[in-house]
Formats: sequence, C-alpha cells, structure tokens
Amino acid sequence: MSNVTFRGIRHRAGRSAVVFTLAIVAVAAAVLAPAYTAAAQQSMLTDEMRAMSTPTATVTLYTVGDETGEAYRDPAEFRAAITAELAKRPKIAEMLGDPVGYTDFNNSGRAAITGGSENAQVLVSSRDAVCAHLTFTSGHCPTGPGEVTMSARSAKALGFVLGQSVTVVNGQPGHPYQGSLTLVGLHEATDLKDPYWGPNPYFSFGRDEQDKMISDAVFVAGPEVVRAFGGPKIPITTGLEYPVLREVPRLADVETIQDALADLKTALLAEGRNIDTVLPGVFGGVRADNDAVAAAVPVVSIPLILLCWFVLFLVVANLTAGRGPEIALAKLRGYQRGGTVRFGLGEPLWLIALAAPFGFLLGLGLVEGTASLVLAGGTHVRIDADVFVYALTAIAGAAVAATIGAWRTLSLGVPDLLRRVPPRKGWRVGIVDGVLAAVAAIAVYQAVEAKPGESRTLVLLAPPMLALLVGIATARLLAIFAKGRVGAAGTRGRATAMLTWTQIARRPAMRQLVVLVTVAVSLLSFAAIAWQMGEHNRELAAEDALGADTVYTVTTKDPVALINAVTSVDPQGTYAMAAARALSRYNDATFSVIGVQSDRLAAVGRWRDHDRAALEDVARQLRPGLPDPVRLNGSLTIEATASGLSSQRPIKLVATVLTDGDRTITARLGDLVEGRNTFTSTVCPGPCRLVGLGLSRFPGSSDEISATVTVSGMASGDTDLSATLGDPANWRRLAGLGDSGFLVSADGTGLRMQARSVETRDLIAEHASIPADLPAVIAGEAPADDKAAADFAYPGLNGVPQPFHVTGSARILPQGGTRGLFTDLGLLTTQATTLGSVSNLSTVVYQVWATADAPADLPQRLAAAGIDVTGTDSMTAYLDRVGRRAPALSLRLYLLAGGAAVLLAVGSVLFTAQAASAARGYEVAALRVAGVPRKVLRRSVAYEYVIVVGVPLLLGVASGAVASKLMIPLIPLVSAEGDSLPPDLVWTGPWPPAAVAVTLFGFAAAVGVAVRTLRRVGRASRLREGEQ
Amino acid sequence: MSIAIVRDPIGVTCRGLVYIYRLDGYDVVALSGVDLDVAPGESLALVGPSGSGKSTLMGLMAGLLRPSAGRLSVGPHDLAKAGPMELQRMRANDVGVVLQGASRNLLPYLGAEDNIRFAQREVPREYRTDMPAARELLDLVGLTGSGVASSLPKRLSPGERQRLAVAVGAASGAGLLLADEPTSQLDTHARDEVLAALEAVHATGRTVIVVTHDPEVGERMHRTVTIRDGRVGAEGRRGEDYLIVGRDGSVHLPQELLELHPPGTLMRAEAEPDGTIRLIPTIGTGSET
Repeated sequence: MSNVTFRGIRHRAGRSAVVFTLAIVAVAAAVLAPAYTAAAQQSMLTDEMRAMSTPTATVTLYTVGDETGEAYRDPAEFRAAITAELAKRPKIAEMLGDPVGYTDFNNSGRAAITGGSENAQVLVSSRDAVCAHLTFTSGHCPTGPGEVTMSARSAKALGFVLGQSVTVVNGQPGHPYQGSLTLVGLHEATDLKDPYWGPNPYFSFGRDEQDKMISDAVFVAGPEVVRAFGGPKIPITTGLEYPVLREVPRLADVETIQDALADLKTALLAEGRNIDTVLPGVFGGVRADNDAVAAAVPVVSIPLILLCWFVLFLVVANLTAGRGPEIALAKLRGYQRGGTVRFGLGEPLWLIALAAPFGFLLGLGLVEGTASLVLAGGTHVRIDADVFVYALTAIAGAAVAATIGAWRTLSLGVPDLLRRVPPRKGWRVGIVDGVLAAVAAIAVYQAVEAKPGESRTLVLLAPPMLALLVGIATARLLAIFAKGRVGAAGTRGRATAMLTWTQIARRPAMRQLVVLVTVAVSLLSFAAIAWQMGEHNRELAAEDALGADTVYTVTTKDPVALINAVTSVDPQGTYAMAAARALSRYNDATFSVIGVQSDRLAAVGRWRDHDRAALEDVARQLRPGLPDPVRLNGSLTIEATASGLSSQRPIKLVATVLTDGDRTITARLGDLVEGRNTFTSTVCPGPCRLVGLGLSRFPGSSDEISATVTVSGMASGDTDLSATLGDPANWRRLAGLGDSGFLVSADGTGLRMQARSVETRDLIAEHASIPADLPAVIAGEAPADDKAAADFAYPGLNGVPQPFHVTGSARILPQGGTRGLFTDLGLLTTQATTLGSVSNLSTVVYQVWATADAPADLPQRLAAAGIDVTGTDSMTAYLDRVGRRAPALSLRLYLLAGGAAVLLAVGSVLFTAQAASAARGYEVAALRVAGVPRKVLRRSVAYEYVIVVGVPLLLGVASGAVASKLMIPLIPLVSAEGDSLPPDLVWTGPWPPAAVAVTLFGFAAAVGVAVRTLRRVGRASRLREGEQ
Repeated sequence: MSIAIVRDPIGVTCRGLVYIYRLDGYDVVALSGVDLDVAPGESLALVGPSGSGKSTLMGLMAGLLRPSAGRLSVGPHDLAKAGPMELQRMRANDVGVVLQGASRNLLPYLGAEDNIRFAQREVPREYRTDMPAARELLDLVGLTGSGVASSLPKRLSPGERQRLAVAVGAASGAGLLLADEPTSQLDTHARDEVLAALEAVHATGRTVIVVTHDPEVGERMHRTVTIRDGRVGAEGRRGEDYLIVGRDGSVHLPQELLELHPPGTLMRAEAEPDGTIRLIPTIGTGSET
C-alpha cells in the first residue's frame, strides 16, 4: 500500500505539500509552547540574576562569636567545614565562585578609633589578599601584627598621618579593650565594583544620623590581629564570601537550589553558623513572571494548535472528498473497511508522520531565533520531556483531525462517492456548531467574569472563543441569507447573483472557510491591538519608573553638592537634573518622597499625562517665589533694642545659620540687656546662610521669659543686610513652635520679636527664604491620619518629618508610583538641613536624570564635579527588560500566533479553491456550454470569493476590536504582578493598521489566485469523458 | 490468449426486482418488477433507452444498491439479505465491475499493471495462487505493446484505457463481469477492440453482462435484454427480438407498434388455435370496449 500511497502523494504534490506544511506548523506550534515557555522563563531568570548588583551577588557564610566560639578559631577550620557542607549540595557549589575569607568586628558600631581629630566608628578587618585590591597612596600593606592601613579620606578627615599610632577601642561595656596600631598605609579601593568586595560596607565614610563620624574600614595583617584588638568577649565575625556565578543557574535547577539553600541554612544554624544571600528573593521574584508565562503560553499556543488541526481537518476533508472516486474504486474492488481506511488515510497520515521531525525542528528553531533576538543573551532552546510530549500530542491530534476530516468520505457508499456533489451533512453540522458556540460563549463569559485575584490568563482564551462564536454565527447567517438571495435573484433573472449566492449556500467548504477566516482575522486583530497597547503602556511604565530618558545613580556627600555639581555641568539646565528619592513605609506600603531640580523638570523630565506645558506648570507650583537667602561670610553683626526683659537668668540673642555643607549651627550672639544691644560674632567657619534670629533662655531654666526685641541692623563683614529686616514677608515664627507666646513681626523699624513664653526651645524668627512648608504634588492618599490632608509632615531627606503642602495631585509620580510626593529638591534640602544632617541616609538614593540628548560623557563630567556614577538606567534598557517580562512575551507570542492563523486562513482559501477546482471546473464548463456568458461566470466566481472572504474579514476585525475592548483591561500589559495603573487603552499606533493592511493584502491575493484558478479550469473539455 | 479460471462462472436471478430512488420530497421508481435469469457463463447485453433502469439494475447486481423489493441472487449471494461484509466479499471474489468512463476505473497515478494489482489486493489468500497475473490480463485484453504495462492511464489512448478498465474489472478472477457502457465515446476501431476484450474475458468462462446503448454491442453478446420503464421489455437471441410475458401477464409492445397503438389504446387479445395471439384494438382510443 505504501507504494500506492507515495505515488498518490506525488500525484497530488500541491495538496500534499499543503498537508505536509500544515502538519509542520501544528507540530511546530505545539513544540513552541513548552520550548518557548522554558526559554522565556530561563531568560527572566537570567535577567533577574544579571540585575543583581555586585554586592548582592554574593553568598556570605559566616559565624559570629567570642572566644568560646568558632569565629575565634583558625578560619581554615571554618573554611573546611563550609566546603564540606557545600560538597553535599553540588547545585549550590557549582554556582559559586572562589570564596574570599574575612574576619572582622565593629561591635555593632561601638568599636572606634581614637587619636585623631575626633573619634570615629570603625570596622577592623582582615580580608584575604586585601592589599591586592587596594591602591596605596602612601605607605604599604600591613604585614605585622602591629600594623594597620586606613583609607586616605578617613585619615584626612580624622587627621591621621602615616606612622602615627591608631588606637582601637572595642566599645564593649563591661569588657573594654583597646590597643594601638601603627598606621603604615593610606589606601583607596582600586575598584569598588569588584565582586571581591562583596556586600560588606568597607567604604562607608561619612556621618550617621547623630552626626557621629564613621570611618572607612581599617585593614590589619591577619585574623589574629582582629581577635587581639577585639578582645576575648567581643563578638567577631569569621566568614567566607562566595561570588555568585550569575550565568550558571538553570531554570530546571532553581527548585533544587532553593531546597538546597533552605537545607544548608538549617544545617548551618545547627552549628551556629549563618548564611546571607538574596538568592531566594531573586528566585521568588521571577516566580510570578514564570507562572504567568507558564500559564499564558499554552493558552496562546493551544488555540493555534487547534486552528492548525481545524485547518488540517478542512484540508484533509477536501482532499479526501476529492479522492472520492478513488476510494469508490477501492470499495468497488472489495476492499475491507481497514483496507479502505488505509488507502484513504494513508496519504495524510504519512505526510503528518514525515512532517513531524521538520515541525519539531522548526519549533525549536523559532524558539532559538526568538531567544537570540528577544530574550536575554545566552538563552537557548532546551529540549526536555515536555517538548516531546507536546510534539507527540500535536502529531496525534493532527492524525485525529485528519481521520475525522477523511471519515465522512470514507464512510460513504460507492454511489455517493461517485456523485459530483456530495450529499448534505444535515443536522449533524448544526449540532457541532451549536456545541462549539455554547462552549465558546461559556469560555468568554468565564474569562470576562473572572473574580479579582483569580488568574486572568484565561482571558487570553476569550478572543479566539469570541471569534469562533462570531465565525459560526456569520457562517450560519450568511448561508441563510444566501439561500434567500438565490430565490430573489432567480425571480429577477439575475444570473450572476444567482450563481454567486447558490455556491455560497450549498458548499460546506464555504461555511468552514467563513469560520476559519473570521477566527484568524479576529485573532490577529486582537493580537495587534493588544501588542500596540502593550507597547504604549510599557513606554508609560518606563516613564513612571525612570522619569527621564536616562537616570544615573550617583554618590554624593549631600544633596547640595549634587545640585551644585549638576548645575556646574549643565548650567543652562537643558539636559541634566539632580534628583533624590527617599523610600519609607507608611501604613504597610511604600511611600516615596522625590525631589528634583524643578526648574529643569520641563526640559529633562518625562511624566505620564504631562506634556512640557504641564511640567512647566508643576515646576511653578513646586518652586513658589521666596525672598533671597541672607548670605553670611562667617561673621554677623546685629543691632537690637530690647525691652521688657523679665527673666531670672539672662536671655541670649541667637542666630541660626546653615553652612554650605549641610550643617545647621546655632550661634549665641550674646546676652540681651534692656536698651540698645550690638553683637558681632563669628557664626560659621566659612560662607553660610542665615536661617533665623531668635531668643534663647538660660540653659536649664524653665521660668517664663518675656522680652520685646527689635532687630534694626544686620551686617556680615562689610555687607549691610538690614534691608531684609523690615519686610514682614521675610520673617515668620519657626514652624513647630506653635502657640508658644512668641510673636514675630516686621516694619520700618526692623524685625520685632515679642516673647512671653515658658517654651524651653529657642524662640526663632525664621527667615522666609527657608520654606515654611514644601509645595508638593501627591499621588495617592496623604501619609497622615487625614488621608485628604493638604498639609502634613512626613520624613524627607534625613528621616525627620518635614512639612509639606499639597499643591496638586497626579495618578502616578515618576519613580514614585501611585503613593508618594514630588517636590523641589533644593527646597527639600534647605528645609531638611534646618532639621538635621542630610548626609548618608541609606534610604535616600541620589540620581541625575538626563535627556537622551545629554552628552555621552556626562558620567565623566559628573565625576570631574565630584559626583561618582554607580549605576545607569535608561528608557531603552527598561523597555528592553519589560519586553522580556511575561506580559510582553505572551503578547508577542499572541501576535505570532495571530499572524500564523491568518497565514493558515489565506492558505486555506487557496487550497479550497484548488481542491474545488475539479468539480467547479466541470460546473463552469457545463454552464458555459449551456450558454451562460463568460462574463457572468467570471463575475459570479469573483463575487462569491469576495463575499466569503470579505464578510468574515470585516467581522473578524470587528470581533478582534470588541475582544480588545472587553479583554485588554483585564490583562496585565507590563508586569505579571499587575500594573500600577489600569492600562491606557490607546488604539493608535502602527501595529493595528499594519496588521489589517497585511491581512487585506494576503486575502486579496488569495482571492485573486482562487478566482483565476476557477476561471482557468472551466474549460469545455472538462465535459468530455473521463476528465476530472 | 485465454486464461482458465478455477472459480465457477456466476449466474444472476431477478424476481420481481424493484428499486426506488428516494429523493428529497418524492420517490422515483427505477425498476418496477424485473424478472431476469442470466445463466452462468452467459454473455448478456442490457439495452434500452436512457433512464429505463439499465444502470440501476447493474448497480443492484454489483451490490452497490440494495433492492427495494423482490429477489436478486448473484451466484450464491442473496443480495436482498446480504450485509455489507458479504457484499464486500462478493465484489472482492465474485463480481468485477467496469464503471462508465474508463478513467473512473483507474487510479491516475498508477501504471497499467499497478492498477490491476490494486484491484487484486483484496482477493482472499486462498484464491490468489490461481489469480491471473497482471501481464496475462493485459495480454487478454490486447494491451501487448511495449511500455503499456507501466504506462499511466493518461498516456494510453481512449480505447486502450477502456480495455485496461476491462482488465482491471476482471482482475480478481471473478465469475461475473459487469460493464457499464464500455464502448461509449469510442470510435469504431476502439469499440471493436473493447468488444474483443470483453469476448476474450467471456471466453475465459466468466459471465459477462454489459449495459449499452449500442445495438452492435448487443449483437456481439449471446443475448440482449431490453429494459423499458423499469421492466424487462424484450429479449433478443441470435439477432431476433422477442417479447416477454411477464409474471403478471404483461407484455411490452415494441416501439414501432407503440407508434401505431399509443399508450392507453384498448385492445382485446384473442388466442388462435395454433397458439398465436391476436391483439385487436378497439375503434377510438380507449373509451369503448
């Protein structure tokens, strides 16, 4: 039989090629599901691993303890124990690089070095090969037990010089211990991004919230030195830092690694050891996306597979129907049922079997190609059991579809097989249509009605179901309409219309074609619209996440330095803007405070719903007109008249100033006496800014004080500043003093302060150049008891509550999400510095936002201005990343599936025309012989195909649009965890019209070819004996 | 060349055979009580006007249609009672069929020999040893030219194609060969070759029944049976036509007599002493007796 089968395949080369191609597509689509899922998941894991910062890409294994513990013993023992533990867990071991050993102590911040200009917190550390990663500006690496090296900047700040003795105190109450080391080296870190440095804060120079100095770590020659200087009762840490080899973890190993990490942690804890790693969080972070992809890909690919099967069913049904006379011959020669089935089905089944390996390879090739183009670098297709299961399922499904398609013809008797027009299927078709329509309607309903919190992945199944519903209805209605038109056309004697509608009404293939075209066009329309909206919303999300084309994360000693540096680099404010972001928690959710150089916001910033004019308006709101600041050159002279002084102790006149750094100094100018007072004092070591003038009671007293003081003259050096004293708009009572019996006023005589108060705090008249409250644009509820409050206080740059006044609201803030406030960085800083230091708050991130037109060497220019860039992100990079998240990956697959569906439908139009050519050619030939004009026949065939393809095409587009309207609001377009805001349903963009244009072109070409085929075969010679 | 067949020739018996086509909304009686005996080894031509029921009768004999009423026996098979399996076995072993139109009998992508082998595939194992070889069958129908054996049907002339169809019909070695219009649309020469092929097949001992419009084909068969209006109207033997008295006493008049006495004419039948029957029409057309 196989010989006959293969000759048959060769005889019907064109149609066989269609079956072969369809089987390839079906198998490829099936293979795509698991292979694409695995590749996408691996890509997301790779992205997440690569997104780990250098410090966090470390697994730290350590032990902490005093002399009784393992930490005090030889680190080699600890290393051996850890190596043994890792050896039991090879999946962990293989993803870790060579460890760096260390022993250090800082006694929870109590350890300090003394002997310099001031005491400073310190971490004393011994670290493997540390000197190889340091650059010595002077001196050398410590080699003996009495030697130490210190960072050059710490030494400079603390006043240490090479060769000086450095005393380390352990700071342990009850067990004080100290020793001295000789400073033999001054160093800088060669490369702070070097994974060698791991997560430990060895370079944390600065001040803490209490304004205490923190030194960079000091390094000694060995662990025994650390132990010696900590003392026996101080907990020291001995550990190993393993760099994570980020490219190593494979998706298939994640679960094993997670289990092994949990197991390792338990084993370590049992021995008093610890492990620090962010890997469980990283793996957990990709879980939502992985789950979303795992759920979405089959939902997208299965309809495509079903469509392939359906088309295969159509093709094989047509093919077998065309072979009716051959099958009749088999039956006529006494073939048994098995023989007839083998003869009738042999060709498609052989073609499917032969196509399977090609489809398999095509599917894998498509995934590999997608991986190289779209997914994270280094992602490759992986062949596992799932791929084979899906492939075998597709092959089996294709075989079943082919069998069902052929079965009707195979079950006909010889006389029916020899008829030119097949008998009608009757009520069975109606039942099948009814069942399909009911299933589709239920699926659409369930998808739309999914409750909040339920998986929305099924929503992706709704568009094909809706399309199926529309397709079935269209086919039915078109057939009914066609029957009606046949009668009407016959009555009116319109031959063209009668022939057109007769064909549409009587040919089952036309009904199937209508359903197929509707479904395919609807799928592609939905996919194109969804992709367009996804692309638009990803761009919006990028604006939300970044706020500018490029964002540099920088280090700065304080925001003032940052503002100054950015201003010096870009004095015109056309491409760079300083920004700071403070993150905190309020009501169990993150709340962001974002400060930017608002005068540059319109030029640099990108903000959803805000065009340039809107940004300019926001900038105006954020930076209202304020008086010029009062600048002092270090000295301050005040002339004041006091009266009504009533206090048991002297009342002092004070001035509060803000240094050019970020420190607030309260200078006591002198004791007030009744009558005229003149004070001259050095209030700050260099240039500074006046914050306010005020009255200060004698320390420790609590009696009521009363005084009326009029400041009539003010000067700094030779600069007379008296003009600012008489303007009442320039002065106010310090916010926070409240109704404390302290009044501030100003007139032509100067600044007047009247006190009758028991307030123990200094009574300050604040200069209005320091904002009383900070204008802010808020997103979400106010972080206050009154969620609609327009005025509230909230921690800003230094953890101290700052007063804010809401001037506007927005749905979302750049980098602030839907909960946060947006304010001017300069005002925020100035206001914050009156309350405390703004340096080194770990929850504040400093950034420079830049336009796409910014100079490429902006990081270098910033570095020259004293600002180091530690990280860069951009809209392009962000879009690239979200383009590899689950929603984009799913929608991209959907788009491909839609394109494939339309291709299948176009192919089916061509195939149907080709398959029908024999019978139709006979009819056309007969009609021509009977005298029907050629023109009428041509027109009828053309109209027939235009209607059969055109009507479902229009309805398919409409169905896709309706599905988009209904379903897209339910689909996460950017993040699998859910998007910050409901999607912005913008339809405009290139994708939908491009999809429609390509579809129109494809079907127009198919109709053209189909019509030409049917015209060509309608020769009179068909009527001669034997020609089919 | 003649090929002996082991299997016995098969006869056909029809008694009151009725077949009704059931169409949408109405029925058409195609055969309305056919009585016919075809002896094993006989050659018979079924003739008659278009629509008279010839092809329907052949379809019934081939087991392609099931009788609506009456009896039909083909060899040992009672076709009124036979199930699908028995009909399939009958077509595999006992009855060969040549459809009208040579191409409809042939797979267009197989050569001549392969077409014959395709038709032989379902012959039961016990008959295969005595089954004629494809080449022998080609020889039998006169397709002896070089390259004919492997030629695709489209490469053959219409006459050759029809003879190949006859060979395929006879391929299984069946005892009965049914051929529907085997000479239609052929020129005289090709027709003669096809008739020669049929005669050769008949000469192997098979019963051959041919449906034809062509009187000359009928003359080449031992017997002709005229089907008219769904019944056996006449029978010809050795060049002479005879009326047949039906089981219900009906007699079909020849066409030329019908023109003299159109349907509806009242006639009286009188038997002569010598057995001759006289048909005496009444004056007028039917209202008087």
